[in-house]
Amino acid sequence: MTNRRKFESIAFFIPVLGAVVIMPPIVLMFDRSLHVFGFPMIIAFLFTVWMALIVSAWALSRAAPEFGRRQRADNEPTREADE
Amino acid sequence: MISANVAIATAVAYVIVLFALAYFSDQRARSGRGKFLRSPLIYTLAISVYCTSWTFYGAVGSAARNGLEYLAIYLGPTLVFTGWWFGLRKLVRIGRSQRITSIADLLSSRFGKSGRIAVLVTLIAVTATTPYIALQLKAITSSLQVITGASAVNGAATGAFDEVQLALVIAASMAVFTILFGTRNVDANEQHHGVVAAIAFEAVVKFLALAAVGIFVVFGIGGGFSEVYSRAAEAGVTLEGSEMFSSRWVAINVLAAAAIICLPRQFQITVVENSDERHLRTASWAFPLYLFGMSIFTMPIAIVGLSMLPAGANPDLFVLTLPLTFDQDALALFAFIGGFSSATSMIIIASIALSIMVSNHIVMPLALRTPNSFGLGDGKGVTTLLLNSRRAATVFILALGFIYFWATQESAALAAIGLIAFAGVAQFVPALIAALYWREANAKGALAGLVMGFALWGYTLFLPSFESSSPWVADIVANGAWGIALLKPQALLGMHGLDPLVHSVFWSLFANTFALVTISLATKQSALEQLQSALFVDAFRRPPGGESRFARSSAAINDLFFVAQRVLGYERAAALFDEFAAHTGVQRRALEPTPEFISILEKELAGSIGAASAHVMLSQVVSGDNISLEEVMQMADETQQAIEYSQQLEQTSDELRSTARKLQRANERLRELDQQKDEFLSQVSHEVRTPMTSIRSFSEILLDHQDLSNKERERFLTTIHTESLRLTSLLDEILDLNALERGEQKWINSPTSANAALERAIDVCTPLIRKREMELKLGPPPAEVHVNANPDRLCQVFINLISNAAKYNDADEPFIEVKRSADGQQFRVDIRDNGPGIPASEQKRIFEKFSRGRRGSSSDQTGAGLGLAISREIISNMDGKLELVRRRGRGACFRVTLPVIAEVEAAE
Repeated sequence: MTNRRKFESIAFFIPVLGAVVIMPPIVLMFDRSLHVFGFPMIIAFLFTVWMALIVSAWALSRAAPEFGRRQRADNEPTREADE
Repeated sequence: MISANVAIATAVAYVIVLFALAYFSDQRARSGRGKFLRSPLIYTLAISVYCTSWTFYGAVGSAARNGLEYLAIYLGPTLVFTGWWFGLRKLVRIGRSQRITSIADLLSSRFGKSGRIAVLVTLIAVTATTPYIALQLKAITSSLQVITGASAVNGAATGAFDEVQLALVIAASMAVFTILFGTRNVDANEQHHGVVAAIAFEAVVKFLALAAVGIFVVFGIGGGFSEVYSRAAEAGVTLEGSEMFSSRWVAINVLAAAAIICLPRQFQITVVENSDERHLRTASWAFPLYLFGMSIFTMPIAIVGLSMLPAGANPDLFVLTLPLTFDQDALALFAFIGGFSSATSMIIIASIALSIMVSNHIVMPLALRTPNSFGLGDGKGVTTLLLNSRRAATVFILALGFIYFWATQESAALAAIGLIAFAGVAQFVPALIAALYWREANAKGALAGLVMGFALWGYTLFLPSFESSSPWVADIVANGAWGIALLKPQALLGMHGLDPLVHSVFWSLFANTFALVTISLATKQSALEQLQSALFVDAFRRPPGGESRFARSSAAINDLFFVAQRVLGYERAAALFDEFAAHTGVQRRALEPTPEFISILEKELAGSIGAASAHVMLSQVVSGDNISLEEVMQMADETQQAIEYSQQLEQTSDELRSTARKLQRANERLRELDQQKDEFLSQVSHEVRTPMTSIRSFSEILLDHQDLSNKERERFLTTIHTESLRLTSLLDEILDLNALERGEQKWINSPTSANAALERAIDVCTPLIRKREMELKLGPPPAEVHVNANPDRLCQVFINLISNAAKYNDADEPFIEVKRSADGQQFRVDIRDNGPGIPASEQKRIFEKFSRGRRGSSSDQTGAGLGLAISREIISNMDGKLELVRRRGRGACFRVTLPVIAEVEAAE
């Protein structure tokens, strides 16, 4: 399924990109004495990346293919069968 | 200030609310009405048990001291949750499908249900978590001291209450709560809806409390975010250019990412308490959002606290002291309750998670080894044992936490315990990742990795945390163990200049991973490990119910039921058996202990007592191998198929090889023949050219010189004639040989007198022999025999042999010796001369076309070199043999052998 593959690629790419962006050397580019809307640049940067990650996660959760199955009552034997 | 009584009463009231909430939630869940309790929102809020009092109070302190470092504690988990599709989803799927009860159970189950791994992981978890529980107790007592004015804000420690006593009371009430709601029964999946509801409630309380304080600080007294941040430098907080984004920043991010999965309480909530894996969808963004909300006010509170409170105030308690200083007692009380709730939620979940681990992986295996110790006669033996051991474990863990708190209350050892605990549980990460994604990882590797990681963590991070409270530890940190500098805990093997945390994280995780990988590669997996690794690594590909790890066996259904009811209780066991019976369409009594059923039963038991114990228990009942017969057959089948396939391949390639060899040989033969043909043609051209040249030159002389004498003219014409004859005979010979070789010529053999043919040949050759003045030694004739031959052709062969012997003989007294003999079988003629003979190098080629002896080629008596080839062809057409015979002395000897035919035949 192409859509699923595409989704998985994006779902993999986003956290990796997020990790790269908040690590040196990229984070160091924003570690300077400037202010953005009254916030120190580094704080504005980190919180923006953070919010972007949250929004991406939200978008991913909307785009994610069906998975999982509601479990029946607790005491029943469960056998997983999906995907 | 708030009186101690009010504060304590509020806390008690809060705890009562928690109890009530948990109780009613449990009731609702039991009666099946608790749909709301299984919502993604509750799940997400419960995950925020991550935010403990260390976060609630400590983050502000960390911000005041270390700047933005505290953010890494939240960014790491944010990344893990953003990547939920690959990590958490698989973890939750496995946790649910394998009925995992704890992280120890997960790793043990994956690595062949290894009891050792379970014990080790439990040990690490308890070691790393106990100080953390102590830290929560410390946070509660310190915050109570502050809020009641009993401590350091104004420097007067009045000691309005006994700190230790208070901690004891809190620990005890948490124990009661955990026992009541965490160990009510040994639930399938270890899900505790009441507890989860209470934790979700606490998550809301602590968020609201922190947000209230944050809003008050930023907008009430700080004048908004920009105003607050503009005071950062003045307050002594360096936000930028602080070289903070170094290896320590990376390390903390990694540790926090590890902790969000590996901390026992996080694993408990995220994996074990998960009631629907689709809840991850919501949690993936909602939990990071919660963290975002929790940390947005942290830095402003730190800045305002530093700039407005008297110097020396403890930044760890700014959340309380700021409202107090500005006479916001109600807000301070709310903040106190927020901190209290973050502490209690951590204590509750951590003690539940740890008590499950301790009872399942330490108490149960011990009990199973001594089966008599748990009342075999009593059907409820195991259930009771489990519940009691879990209760005892809860008390034990909380007691341990309290003792730790009591022992270290005067020291600063607790302050750094948050990251130390993170680093401790991060030792599970290599094994965990390998468990989920690396098929070849095995129990020995995982065990070695955990031991290495745990040991190095203990030595390089945990031990040095006692530096300030123990002179002995301080000495080791300063000089290394036994005074060996290379063993300095914070500069191991001379690795210096690193932050101690980074140093420890590097060494422990490096050694851990290295041991895991190398030992996994160097050793083999057991059969059970192979099966488990497939179940884990291919969690999303597994067909339903496809795993059955017991052979179809002699297990009686009664025995299984007995075991099941001992663990699950009569009702649940009966329900389980009935359900499966209904599923297969038979009565419970007629139920077959199929591998499928045993597998389901084992999982069900694992949900209560852990995979390793469940496996041991069922193994006691089910006599049989670990692998079902079908699986053995299947594995054997696959192996067989592989072998057959490779044999086929081998066969095919053998055939190909032999065909290729044959082709190669045929090709060589063709080349040879081609070369022979070329040689033949060039020989023929050469042979033809010589007479042609003389014919042409002599006829030119005749044409050009009309004045030649008749005599001369005649001589030239004779030469032309001779040469023409030679040419004709050459061409005849070639045609002859060609015809002979192809068998085209009509060949009629008839009974012939061999002697007569020989006599005729001698007669023909006599003039030549005489001319050469040679002696002919003719042996006596044998009895008259007949051979099947063409008389003219046979004669031709003899003439050829005799004339050759005559032509090439340059001896002083030349002779030709002809010997003949005959018996009932063969007629044999040897024709020998005393000429130069044939050199060994030419003997092989002598019968080939155009091959003349070396002497022969220089002689004027040259033939075309076809005589012997033709002769041999002729003799072979008569089923005879022409060969060169080795003899001593000068000369050559050719022998003709022909089979003799019976007289009767000859007469016909």
